Amino acid sequence: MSAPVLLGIRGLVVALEAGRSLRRVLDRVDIEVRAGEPFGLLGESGSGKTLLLHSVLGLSDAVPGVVAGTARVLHLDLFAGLNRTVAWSPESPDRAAKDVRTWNRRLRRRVASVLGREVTLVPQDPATAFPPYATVGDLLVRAVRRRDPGLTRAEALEAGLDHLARVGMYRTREVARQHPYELSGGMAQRVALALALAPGPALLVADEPTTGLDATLRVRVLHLLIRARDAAGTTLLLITHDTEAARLLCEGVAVLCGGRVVENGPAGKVLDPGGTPKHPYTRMLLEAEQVLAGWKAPPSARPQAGPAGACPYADRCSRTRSRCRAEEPPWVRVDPDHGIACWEVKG
Amino acid sequence: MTPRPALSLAWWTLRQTAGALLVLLGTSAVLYAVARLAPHAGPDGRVVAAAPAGARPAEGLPSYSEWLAGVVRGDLGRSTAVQQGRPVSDLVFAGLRRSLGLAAAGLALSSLLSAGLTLIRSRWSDPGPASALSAAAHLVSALPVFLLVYLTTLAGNRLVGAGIRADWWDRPGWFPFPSRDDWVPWIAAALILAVGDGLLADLFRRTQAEWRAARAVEHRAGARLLGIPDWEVRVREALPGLAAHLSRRVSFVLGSTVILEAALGWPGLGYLAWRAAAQRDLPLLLGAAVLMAVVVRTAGLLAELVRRWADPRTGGEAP
Amino acid sequence: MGKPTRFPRGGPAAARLALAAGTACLIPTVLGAALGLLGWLPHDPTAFVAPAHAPPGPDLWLGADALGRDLAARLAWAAARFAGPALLAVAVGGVAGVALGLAEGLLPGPGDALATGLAQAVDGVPKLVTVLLVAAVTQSDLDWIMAAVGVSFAPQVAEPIRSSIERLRSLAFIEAARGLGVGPGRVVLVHILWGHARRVLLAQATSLLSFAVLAEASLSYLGGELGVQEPAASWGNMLALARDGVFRGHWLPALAPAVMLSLTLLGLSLLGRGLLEAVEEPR
Repeated sequence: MSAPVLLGIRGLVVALEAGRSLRRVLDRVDIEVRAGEPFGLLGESGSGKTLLLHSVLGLSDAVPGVVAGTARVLHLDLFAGLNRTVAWSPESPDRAAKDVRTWNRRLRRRVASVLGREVTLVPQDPATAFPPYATVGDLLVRAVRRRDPGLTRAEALEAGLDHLARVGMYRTREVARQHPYELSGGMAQRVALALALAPGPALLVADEPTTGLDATLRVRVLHLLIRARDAAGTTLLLITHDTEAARLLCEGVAVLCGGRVVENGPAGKVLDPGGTPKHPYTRMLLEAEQVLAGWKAPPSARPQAGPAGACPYADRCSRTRSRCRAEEPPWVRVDPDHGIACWEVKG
Repeated sequence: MTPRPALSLAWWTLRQTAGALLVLLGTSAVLYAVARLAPHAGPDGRVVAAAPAGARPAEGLPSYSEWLAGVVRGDLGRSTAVQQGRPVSDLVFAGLRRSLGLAAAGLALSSLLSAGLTLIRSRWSDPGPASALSAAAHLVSALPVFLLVYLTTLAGNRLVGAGIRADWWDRPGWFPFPSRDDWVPWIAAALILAVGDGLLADLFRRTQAEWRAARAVEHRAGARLLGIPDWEVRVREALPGLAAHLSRRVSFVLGSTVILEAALGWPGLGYLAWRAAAQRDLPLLLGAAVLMAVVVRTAGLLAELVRRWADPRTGGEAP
Repeated sequence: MGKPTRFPRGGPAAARLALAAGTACLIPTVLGAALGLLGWLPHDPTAFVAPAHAPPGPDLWLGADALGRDLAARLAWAAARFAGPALLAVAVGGVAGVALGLAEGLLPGPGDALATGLAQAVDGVPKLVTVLLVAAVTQSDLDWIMAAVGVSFAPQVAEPIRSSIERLRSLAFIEAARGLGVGPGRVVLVHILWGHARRVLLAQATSLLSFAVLAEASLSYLGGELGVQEPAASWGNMLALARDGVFRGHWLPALAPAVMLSLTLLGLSLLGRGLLEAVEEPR
């Protein structure tokens, strides 16, 4: 019997207004994260990885945002009633009608019961992601109280400091008196991780935890994430462009390019630098990682969407044929659990 | 990395107060300069009402240093025309006591109305009626205070008079308006202050902008993760901006109060200032102006305190 | 459940509407001022041409005021008389404000502090009180009063210029331009004033004009020899004159200046809002 699905996303389409038309920044994305199987979402900056999670969890202000798809988090069907709030069809993808206010209100209300408790997130920039008027102590108290609302402030603070110590922070009491924006990058990272672990979540999402960190800090954060991953009852969902981190931490991996999933499968096969069949984009990521640690493409101003009706990597691929630009590549199963969307890969 | 001791707040307040006093010094210098240096020759042959015929107005004023020394002591000179011989400080402080409540009520009502309008606009999904409401607010707000006073007086007196004649109600104590002995005229005057001279339109626009800006803020995601309600984040984000706007509007409301009191004939600081100007009573006018400057600066200080409480990041000066 | 919004939405339609509405509101005023300035008035505005409160007729478009003068001609004359001083207010406010803003932003240490202190000192007292002071001292010389309006508005004009400069400075824009050999004058004019601050400056100009109209009308209405004096015409003193007549049923001499005043203020406010939103902010 396979593990229960913690996060199941099917056919997700997220669109953004771009001048006089709509641009699909996420196109028919399918992701499945099962309990006990840490998962990695790989892709360069601007591929839509963060937007994916934010759109599902109601943290995004994009308009129009989600226009199609289903999303289940634990026992919750988050997108129930989507078709009553949104009018969009793949046949005419440049037009949509959506009651944004009602949708956001409804989604946030539904998510509120699990967000910060069973599902937690380590934000991309922890130093600025939290309200500036709260001290680390205040935030820890709130996080602990998400699981045990009955605790007094003193008790909750003690529990919070405990979590802080477990992520390797020294002088926890002093740190608790400070504000997140006063902390250095590494310390803020650890605080954010402690805040995410304190409620004892079933799913812990780490958004770009190693981006912008120097080598020593990166190693330390990876170490922390391994410990978090091995913590009982918590499954890790890693959003990153760092293939090495993904290889270390994840069992399953999905690769996002231009808003579409181009490869999906076990980390051992997808991220194997050897000769296993893989999508050219994945290969590029692996090669780049080997050449320059921490390399990433210059981020675009907005998440890029691939052109409709073509392969999203066609413009940059070294093996492009005319077919790649004219037709969308099919989903090829090289293994029962490993799929690749590419014309050049044989099943 | 160093934790901030509570002492620094006191030190910061001290610094801000010193700065405020310096600015007040500058304001008094500017006012005095205007009083002394602006050309006093008006059109020939015009008789100045109630001042000694042929006298140059500036003769009522001592030199700047004398005047400033007097101000620091609390002695603002003596009135030369409005209430000849009486000390200016007596007059203006009595006037301030009467006017401050009215001006504060006007500003408070204006902020309440703007906040209400902003919330209505943001909650009401149907854009039609919401736009109509805000358009109406802008329309009424464009009218000058004196015009609103005139219209209110006219309409109010007509309505109440007709009601009395038709036996609908008894003659209320404050009829005919403008009397200030009852709370009804006072509320009406505060409302006029809140709305007229463009104050409501201005505050409404600012509140909307701050509310909208507070939406697109990065730490909302973090707040939501921890169960901090959205409205709390938005209010605390919008608050320092709004406090700054309000403190700047204090100056504007005081100006409108001058017109209001002059139009209604109600005694107060504004009325004093106007009469002083009409009768070229410069010591009194300067005294009233300086007192108003003090009020404006104090309001600015308070706004800075609010700003610092809501967002401890910014330790710098507000523009 | 609300109405679903259609995506993609259109362009800044609301701003264009505001601009159009504002311009429409200002047409009667501008027309009247033009007629007055050109001298194409049906009657001499100071001449007594009809019995008091005469009704409108083919010769008197809006009838006569309480003293028997042509109401329409006086309305137009009031606008015309105000045009020059109003422009003076904008000019003084603009020049003083820009100078102050540039000084605050570009001068080194002590100069910057001085300029900021000056701005705060002028801003510390209500604008109307400054105007009142000047009106009292100069014995109601309209030109000086309007100059005072401009000066009291200068800090408000300086503010967006200063913040523009700070923003550009934080982007190292100014250094980059100077590094490329662009002269300081050009940097100021083209990049700072025109490039980044222009739409706010335009909106401030309408705000200034609004205040000028407001101040002059209020002072003239209240009397006390502070505003425009008889026999010169101002919407404010026309309203004051017409007060008694309203009780006897002659409401036109009061309604006409009230409407003109309201239209002008409303038009300026709409124009300011439209300008703020419609003029593209360069990236």
